[in-house]
Amino acid sequence: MKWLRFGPMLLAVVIVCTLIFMPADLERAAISSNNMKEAAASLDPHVFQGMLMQQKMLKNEQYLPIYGSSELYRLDKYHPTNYFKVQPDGFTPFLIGRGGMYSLVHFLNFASTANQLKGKKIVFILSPEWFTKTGLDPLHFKPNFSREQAYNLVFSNSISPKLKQKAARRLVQFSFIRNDGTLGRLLEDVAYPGRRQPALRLADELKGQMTYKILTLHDLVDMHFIRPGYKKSQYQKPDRQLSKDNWNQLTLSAKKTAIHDTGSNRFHIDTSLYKKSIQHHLNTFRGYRKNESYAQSPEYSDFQLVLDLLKEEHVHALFISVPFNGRWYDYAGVPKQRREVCYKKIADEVRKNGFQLADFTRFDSKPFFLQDTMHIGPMGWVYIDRSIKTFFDRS
Amino acid sequence: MAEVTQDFKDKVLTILAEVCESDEIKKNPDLQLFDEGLLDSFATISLVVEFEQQLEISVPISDFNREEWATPNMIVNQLAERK
Amino acid sequence: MISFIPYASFQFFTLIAFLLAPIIILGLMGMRNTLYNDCVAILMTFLIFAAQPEQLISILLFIIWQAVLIKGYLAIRTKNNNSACFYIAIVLAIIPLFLVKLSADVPALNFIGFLGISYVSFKSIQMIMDIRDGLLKEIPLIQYFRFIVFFPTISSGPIDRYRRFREDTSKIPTSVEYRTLLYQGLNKIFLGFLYKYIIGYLIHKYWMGSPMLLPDTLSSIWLYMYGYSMYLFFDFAGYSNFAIGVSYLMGVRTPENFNKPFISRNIKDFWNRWHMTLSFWFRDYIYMRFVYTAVKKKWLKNRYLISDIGLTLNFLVMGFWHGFMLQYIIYGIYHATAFILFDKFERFNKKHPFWPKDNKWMHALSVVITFHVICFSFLIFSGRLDFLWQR
Repeated sequence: MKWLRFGPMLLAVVIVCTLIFMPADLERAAISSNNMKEAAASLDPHVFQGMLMQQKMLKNEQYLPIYGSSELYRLDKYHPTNYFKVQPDGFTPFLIGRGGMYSLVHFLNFASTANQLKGKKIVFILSPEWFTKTGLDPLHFKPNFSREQAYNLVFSNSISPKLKQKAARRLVQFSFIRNDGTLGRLLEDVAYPGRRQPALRLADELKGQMTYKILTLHDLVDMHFIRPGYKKSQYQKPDRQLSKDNWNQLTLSAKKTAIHDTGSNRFHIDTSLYKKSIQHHLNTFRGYRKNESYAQSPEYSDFQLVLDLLKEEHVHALFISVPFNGRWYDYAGVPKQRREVCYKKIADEVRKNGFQLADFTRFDSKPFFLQDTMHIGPMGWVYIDRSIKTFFDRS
Repeated sequence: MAEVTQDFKDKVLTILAEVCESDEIKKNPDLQLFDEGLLDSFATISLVVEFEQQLEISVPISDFNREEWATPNMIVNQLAERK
Repeated sequence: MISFIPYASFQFFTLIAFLLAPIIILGLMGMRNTLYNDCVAILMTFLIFAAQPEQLISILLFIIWQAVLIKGYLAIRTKNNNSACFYIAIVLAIIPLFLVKLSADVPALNFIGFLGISYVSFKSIQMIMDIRDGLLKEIPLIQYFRFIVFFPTISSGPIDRYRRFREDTSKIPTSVEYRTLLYQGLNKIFLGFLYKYIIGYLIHKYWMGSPMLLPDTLSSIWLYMYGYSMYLFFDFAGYSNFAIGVSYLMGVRTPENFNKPFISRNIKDFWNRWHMTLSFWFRDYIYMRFVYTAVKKKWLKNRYLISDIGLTLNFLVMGFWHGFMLQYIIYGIYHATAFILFDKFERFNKKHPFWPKDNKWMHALSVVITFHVICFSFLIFSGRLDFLWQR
């Protein structure tokens, strides 16, 4: 038969279509538990800009996801990842977050895993630095924006239509999203429905579905090439010795480390960092944030989106509220009373929505909780480990 | 097909053999001239000029394409048609 | 507006699959609907350029300009064969292309030009030359339009010849012939996917894009050279396969552009295998015409010298055609030099044979040497060496 010659081409089309239109279940099945183990502490941005790995992880009882931002990268021996390795408590922390991942970024991520989040326990570390007058800006949003997750938001029905619309309205305020061709138009359709001709919308939806499937395929491939997102210098090995210590002993040894690392200056900032980037032009930092205030911020309503979603999915979430480095912010021109406004507003918002809060803002002016101007240090991690353990064991 | 006399054929082959600097052409009139490296762009032009001067047949060079003028026999026939 | 740059996006392939379906069905029945084909041509020209309205206007003006030129010159040529008229016509046909190439450096000219202007220019220039040679006696406007805006090859070739194209479009393939065309065409399109979007893409991303090749050291530039050469081939050969494949589906046997260029035995062989429609165009309309005129008018006694000048002219023009930039000019001079040196070598070898031809080891050695000579030319072409003469 002459027509048999067309066989290989047809086969190629079938293979490509199968790959592209592979159901998400199959794609998740193609991720092994080994890949997942590797991803848990990798902090590889592909993991949290994708969704397949997280969806699979959330279905696994063994993992406790910890959402946050740059502080997660301080992988010292007191960091939850390391601590719960030597003192197992029935879960493995799964780290999700990096610098610039404000509430809205987390919201998009949560939305893409909403089905799997149902009834799940999670930990969420908040940073007060997010709640500025501008809140999330394009500079921080762009590198953390995931087109795959945004497409998922457009096409998914797993969150309530009202919340979806609210989120879409917020997203299209960013011009880089609004102008993102098909995706931008589709999000605008969600935000302000009925503005466009149905035929045009349909064309964009078809194209969007296609792009979305290709993006998940990329996601799948990336999950097989997980690489650490942190630097070697940020990582310490787990310390077996710690397994014998009780909380008081742990706090003491962590404090000792902190004194050693940060004792050189009055701000209690890590000595090497201080010497490298602060000491020589300390004067330029005096009052450099004096116009900053935390009373009004778009971040509060972005954070509310997160809370709304977690409520809808009945997620058991522990929020961890971390302080500013009080001494440094005093110097930078943000007085304590302005900082307190921020702490209080965050705490109120969490509690009003019925979630648990581990509030460490009492360490605002006490040293050693942080290791620099904003990142959690060894002693901070010990306190946080303790509250995570309590949270996990109790609820 | 145009009539090809033996005299005409000999003349053409002599010109070809001269330009290509090869006598094999006369022995094998179905030789692939371009593939064998006997003719190239430069030799083609000499050939066209010689045809014009010796046979008084002018061939526009863009008409001299390598598929239709590939062997001595084909060249003879092409020229015969243009006589 | 959605952009439909040829063979660059999924939507382009979806669109042409949709538009070509009727042509394929009719083709398999041994039929062709010329009206439908013309409508597709008009629609595609519009869609390819619609995303940039100024390009659409440019191409429309361009087509009219060339049509007037060709028709006008044809009218003059039928009355008398005046050289001056011919040269004026050629110059007028080149002007738009020249201005566009210049516009890279002259911002005031930026508004003109469109994707593929050089390829379309080549088509009309060869028509004028064929008119001059008396090979074209009549050119129906509709045929001219079909040839010029043949959408499968409009953006980057291959460059077809009018007389060849005319035969394909005036003859409707039988059902059996079309089945072969369909098979070959689809095969080429799939080969295009393999070349451009799998092999080319991977080379570009993982070889050329490797951070190891960033420093200006000999070894990384050397490795980049191989990567770039492979990429250039697979990307462009892939594109050409798309263009030729789609042409076949429309019943037009657009000529091949590549014939395993990296196994060339020498530089001459290479130019018969690499970007063939362009190099043949240059060979026929620049080198050969120049040499022919010079030999006939006896400008110089030494024919070899004439040939060398012709080669230099040929490759220099090709260099400038790529763009008015130093890297392209050097690329042109480099190839002219290589070509001339090889000519001398070949002549010498004919008189005093020392390099045996029918030895397979010598053949392999020739291929390896030629391969490196061309890869190095692509390295110049790529601009990777620009740091040597900039600053």
